[in-house]
Amino acid sequence: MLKKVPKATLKSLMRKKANIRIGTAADAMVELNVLLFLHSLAEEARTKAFEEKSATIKAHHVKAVSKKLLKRARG
Amino acid sequence: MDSVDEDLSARILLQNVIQTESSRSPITRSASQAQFQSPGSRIRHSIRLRRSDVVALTPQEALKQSIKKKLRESTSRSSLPEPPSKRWAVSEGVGKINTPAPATASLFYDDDITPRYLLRGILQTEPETSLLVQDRPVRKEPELPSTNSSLHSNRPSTGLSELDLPDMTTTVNLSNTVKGLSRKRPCRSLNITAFNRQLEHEDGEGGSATEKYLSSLSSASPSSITFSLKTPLMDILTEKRRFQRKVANRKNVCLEEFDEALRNRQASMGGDPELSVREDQQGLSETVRSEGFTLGLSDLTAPDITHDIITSKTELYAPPDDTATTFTIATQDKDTITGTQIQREMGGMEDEEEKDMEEVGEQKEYKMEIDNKDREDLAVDAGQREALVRQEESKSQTEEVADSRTEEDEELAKSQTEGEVAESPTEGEVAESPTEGEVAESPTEGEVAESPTEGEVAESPTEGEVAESPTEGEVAESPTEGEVAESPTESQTEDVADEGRQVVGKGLTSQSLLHNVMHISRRAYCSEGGVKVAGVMEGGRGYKSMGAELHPTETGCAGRRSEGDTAGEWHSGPEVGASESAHTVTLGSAPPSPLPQEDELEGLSRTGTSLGNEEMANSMPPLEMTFEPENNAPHSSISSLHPITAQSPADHEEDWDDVEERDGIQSEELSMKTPAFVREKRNALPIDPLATPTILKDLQPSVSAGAAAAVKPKAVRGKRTGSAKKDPGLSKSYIMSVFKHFAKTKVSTDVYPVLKEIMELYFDRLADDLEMFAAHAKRKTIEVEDVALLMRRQGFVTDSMPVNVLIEKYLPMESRKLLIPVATSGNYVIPKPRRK
Repeated sequence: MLKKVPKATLKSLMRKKANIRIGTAADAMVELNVLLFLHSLAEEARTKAFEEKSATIKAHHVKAVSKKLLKRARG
Repeated sequence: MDSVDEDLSARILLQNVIQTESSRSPITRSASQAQFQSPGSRIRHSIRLRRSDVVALTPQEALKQSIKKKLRESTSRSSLPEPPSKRWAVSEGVGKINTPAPATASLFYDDDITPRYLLRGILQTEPETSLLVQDRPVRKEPELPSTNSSLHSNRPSTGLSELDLPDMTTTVNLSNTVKGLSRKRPCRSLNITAFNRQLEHEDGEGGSATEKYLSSLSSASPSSITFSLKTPLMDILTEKRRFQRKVANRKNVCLEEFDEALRNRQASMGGDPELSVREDQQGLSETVRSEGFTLGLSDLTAPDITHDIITSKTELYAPPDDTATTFTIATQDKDTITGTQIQREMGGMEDEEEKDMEEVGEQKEYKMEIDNKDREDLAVDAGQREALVRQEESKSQTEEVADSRTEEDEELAKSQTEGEVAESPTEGEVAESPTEGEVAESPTEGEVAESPTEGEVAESPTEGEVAESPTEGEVAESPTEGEVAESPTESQTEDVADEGRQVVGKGLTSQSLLHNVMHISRRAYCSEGGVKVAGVMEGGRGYKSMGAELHPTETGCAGRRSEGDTAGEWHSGPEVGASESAHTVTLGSAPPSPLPQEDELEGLSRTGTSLGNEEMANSMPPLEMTFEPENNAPHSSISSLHPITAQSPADHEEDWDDVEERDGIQSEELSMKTPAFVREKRNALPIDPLATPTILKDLQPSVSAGAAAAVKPKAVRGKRTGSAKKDPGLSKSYIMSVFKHFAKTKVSTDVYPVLKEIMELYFDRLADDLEMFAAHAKRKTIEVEDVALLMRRQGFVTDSMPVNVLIEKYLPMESRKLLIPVATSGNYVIPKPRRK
């Protein structure tokens, strides 16, 4: 969020994924979605790290959280 | 009360004690002993104490008691002018305290008694105290009981709060006192003491623990406190000690064993005086090898000196390196001689061989010299050779101080011996040196013989060094100190003239790391030989190729190869040890199969490089490395690790082909080797880390190549993956920054790979869903509403959290503008509202 998300990246990702086109606005929405997802991921990871009394978020924290989060975000 | 307690002095306490206690006959030592020795007696002899147990002590009283107790103990322990008996009693008490746990409690209590009694004795003896007693007998009495109780309570409190800080003791004591006025107090204290004792005992440092315990007891500070403090500390210390001991023991053993092993070999060698030197060298093998390497390096610069040094050094190593077998020894001798010869030979070598390989040539020359020496040794009968080798080595040793050098020389000598197995009985090391260039020419006793060393397997009795050269033909010869490997190599070498060298090298490997050094030298020699023969600077490969060729002919070839490779490589390093070991390694492997030989060589080479790696393993890796280059024509690849060595082996290989020119090859090799292995060493050192991975690859075409290849593919892979990244999409920096921002705490960088994958996964899913939504809407394009629906389904958007809010919350302006119509001046809405 602090950085500008390269729209091209999103577009390329979408293109690669599917042959469907993506509207302009949709890019922004997708970006929003990505941000939201990352945000929740970070929150969960942070919580988990705190559980382990570590001020730093470590990889294993994130990993443990990701699975659950991915499942939830699957919609 | 506290103040009063503080003022308590031994005398006062004693007074109190005496006052409170029913008059009893002074407890003599025997009596006190009896008390102590009545572990089971829980009965408190002291009425005062008993009273304390029963009496409900006020906090103050308890405190007083505790303080008093502490004082008492301190006084008892301290160096007060107490009667020695007191101290003795105290110590006894303490000691007894440390003894069986169950007795602790009682003893503990007894301690109080005994000191008290002792003090009483003092008081009795000293009438002065009586006055004090009168002044505050009353106070003392209550104090005493209070202190007693407090002290008693302290124990339980301490027991309870063993781990607590001492500061807490008093307060805790007070509280505990109130609570624990029950009879259980003594039990608790018992527990404490028992616990302490147990801990002490457990620590296995009962003595120390007890000491500590005693010290703690004696300390003026609350005894209970000290106990508590002690236990954890002691445990830690003991544990640490245990660990430390273990570790230390282990290390020592390893090293010692190794040294011993080396020495044994030396002894087997013949117990030459050199052996002692070698032993030292062995011990220092690693270091020496390293030195050797450095020396080897210097060889290039100052071949004369270095050679000498090397030669002398090699000798030292040769003998200890049983594996090195006589060959190494011979090399040493040769080295000394070849020192000068090397120079010559180098010149000659260069002429003979590819000029390109000058460096290698140097090494070879060196090796030649060594080989010559070895050969000389070899020339002598098996037994003679060994003697010769030893002698030569000794000579070289004497001549040359540099141990490392000797190693190199040994190696060279070994290589030489290989060729000279049969021939070089020439103690005339000089003869050997010219072998390099004179391999073919100089009938230097050994050189010529070296080439035939192959067939001289039987001859090379060189302690192992010799075995190197004769590895091929020295099958019989390799009685080298134990270079069993050599023998196998010998057999192999027999087939190939050059193999003789290999044999030597192999023999080395078998010996041990020390041998490795020799092996290295041998290898260098072998390689040199190969090179020389061919006279072509194929680089190490050439030699190796020869070795490879030889493989089919003889397993010894591998040994040779290794030698060639290792020679170049090892020469730099602990020739003797490494070569030997390497040889042994290679040799050992050689018999099994050519490839293994290569490995050996590589390993050997490595050993050489690894500064006389004690571990054969080291030798193995270098061997492998060397092998690889051997296998590959691009010996250079190996040479990349050891450019020089590669060349030399390559040359050697070629030379091997010729076989006929073994001598010449040998000489060449020698000349080549010396510089080669010096280079190798240098290369090996840095390459070692690389080499090891290559070993795993098992003889990649070129060790160096393998290493290099290993590095390259990795880089390439990285790039490929990068290029093939699934949709560059979420750049790492972006993800990182976003995550960091959201996390609001430090985020380790380890998470990014994980994060990236997660994001990719998520993104894929996202795209799929969107696609589905769009398809459901019979659209071909993903639209905002699709994404909005997705978000709703994901739970990001709820009734209470409309999309717009989210948009405004997260998206940067530019993105938001797209999504939310923004009204600008002039009634101009951005984005243009959709006509829909």
